[in-house]
Amino acid sequence: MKPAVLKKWIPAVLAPAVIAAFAIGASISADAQVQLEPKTPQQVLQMIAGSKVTDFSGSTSTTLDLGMPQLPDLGSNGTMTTPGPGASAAPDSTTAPDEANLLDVLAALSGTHEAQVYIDGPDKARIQVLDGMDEQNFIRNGSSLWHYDSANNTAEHLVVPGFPNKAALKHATMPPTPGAVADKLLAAMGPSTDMRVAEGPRIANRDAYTLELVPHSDDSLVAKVSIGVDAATGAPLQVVVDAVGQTNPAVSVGFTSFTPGTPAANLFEFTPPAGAKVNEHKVPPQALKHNPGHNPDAANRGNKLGHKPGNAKPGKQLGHRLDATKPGKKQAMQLPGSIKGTGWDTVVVVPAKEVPKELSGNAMLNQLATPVEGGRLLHTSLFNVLLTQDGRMVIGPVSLARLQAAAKGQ
Amino acid sequence: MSSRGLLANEVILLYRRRRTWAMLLALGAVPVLIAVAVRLTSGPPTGRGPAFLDRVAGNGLFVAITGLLVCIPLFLPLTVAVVAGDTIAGEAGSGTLRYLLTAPVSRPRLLLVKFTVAVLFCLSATVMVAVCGLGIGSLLFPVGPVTLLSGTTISAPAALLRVGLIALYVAVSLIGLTAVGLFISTLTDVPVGAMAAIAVLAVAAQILGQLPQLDWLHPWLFTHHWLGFADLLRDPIRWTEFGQNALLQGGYLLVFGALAYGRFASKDVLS
Repeated sequence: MKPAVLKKWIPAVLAPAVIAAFAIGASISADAQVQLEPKTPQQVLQMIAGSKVTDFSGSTSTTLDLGMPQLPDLGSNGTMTTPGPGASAAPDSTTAPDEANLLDVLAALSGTHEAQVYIDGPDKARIQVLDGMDEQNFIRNGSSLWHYDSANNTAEHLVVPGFPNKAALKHATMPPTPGAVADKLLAAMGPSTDMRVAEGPRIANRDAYTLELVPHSDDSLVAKVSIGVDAATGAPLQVVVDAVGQTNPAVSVGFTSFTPGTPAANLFEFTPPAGAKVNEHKVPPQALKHNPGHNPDAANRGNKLGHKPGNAKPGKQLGHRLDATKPGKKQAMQLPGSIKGTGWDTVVVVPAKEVPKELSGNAMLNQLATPVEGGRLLHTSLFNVLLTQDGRMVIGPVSLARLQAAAKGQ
Repeated sequence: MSSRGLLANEVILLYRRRRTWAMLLALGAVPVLIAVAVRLTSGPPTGRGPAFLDRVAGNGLFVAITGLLVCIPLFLPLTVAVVAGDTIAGEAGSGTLRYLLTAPVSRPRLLLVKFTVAVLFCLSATVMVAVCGLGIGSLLFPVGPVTLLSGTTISAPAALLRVGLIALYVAVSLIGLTAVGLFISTLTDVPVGAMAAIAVLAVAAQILGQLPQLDWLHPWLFTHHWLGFADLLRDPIRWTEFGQNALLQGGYLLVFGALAYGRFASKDVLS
């Protein structure tokens, strides 16, 4: 080809080069961490504890990859329902419905989900879970709680007089913010954990410390938990849980953008749209303390919400999931079974009569579970479930051998 | 001939063609069909059919949105393929390219004018769907305040603005395909071949976008944000998707525009 002809192709070569340079440059500048003042893990923990950011808005991204095959619609038999916000509002609810929906929920949650978060102080919050062409809204304004689902145009309204159990309700009803998740993880840590401050990326375009927690255990399936902490405000921006033997993080909850400052007040005022089906719920204060399973109103609430995998609330369910990934008092309260071991090796043994029928007789689960010595194993990268031959269920974020030992009563 | 004169000429040529109007009318028929179908039946139960279809009976404005949603995967790309594939190959095929270039018009300028006209068609196509949808929707159904995905209700004029934004979003989404089409059109003298290739590409890109094994590729497909306009129906509006889409389409425009220039400027025009 003549040079004159070759010259005409120069833009065609340059254009992709310019775009590549731009893309790489943008990602480098986004990751380039300024030199942060070195801090010890304790100092970073204090930063989190002393964080004064009570008002902020941001976008979050939640990714769940438990190394399971992509599952078909498991909820189609219509017998399974997810506990709604009401049912899960009580921290001591039995886990039966939770566990029955385990596969269902995991199938719906795998992959990436995005949400917009607006927080104004301790009692105003709005979380918009963006769900393709639909949206789930969780709005809290004082004692009034709203959940609006655009998919079927229904709204749930819950008024909690006086908000007797503020912390529990907030955590259970709203999808957790990264801050809430970090708090839970930190509370569950014991001497069984190595803590260090590592070199980490910028998070949500902000300089951040990365606090790494590494379990001191050969049996734990959790390889590492990384908490990204905003260098300027001390607000936790990201929590990543890595599983043993998996390249991609098993769980990742983090901000993709984060703006301190009070969000517009009208975001927290919700009026159900005309034509929407509104379910009003009144919760007597004692209902929050008792098992909602015995409270017809609360049970009804859970069922009314109905369920399809697509509209599971990623954040909230993730909260449950994270609870299961780490040992601690919460499970002790929730599960009727017995607890074996401590720290990261905690295993819960559920007696045969407490294992929900939906779980033991679930055909899909039978297919997924592999026969192992002493029963059948349902394996995910972050936790194992052993269904023993005598019908018990042994569950924990640990290796199979540890579960088998626990099943034998060790 | 000045560049502006050339552009005016080409625009007139586009809208004088019976083919252009046939395509625009076919696109306009989509929301009309949807609206009539919903009117004659009792409408689908909640949560069935394309998104927003169940809202059509309650508010005519949703006809336009549903129409755009239904047109994006196939109908719009097909018409864009016809227009973009015809840009250079059509002139070459009918033997008029030579005469166009004998006028004192540089080749890059001709390319730019052809591309601009094709993008104008993208915009007219989406506006056509939106306007037909709004028209038939207001004829057959009540029109009133619109409930956004976030549960907020906005007035009908504000909702009209959102529909306009969605039409714009969809038109922008088609820029990448138009640029690819322009390049393909410079490769051949057979316009039908170019049109078919573009239409196949549009469908193939969407199929690739469905394969979870290729998720690393998805953000780079020009179809990646095609259905992302739901963010314009939230409160507050989320502009992230709009921006990412515009950036992606701009990238395609740059790369395939440069490729088209390379090919067209170095091509021997014999016909």
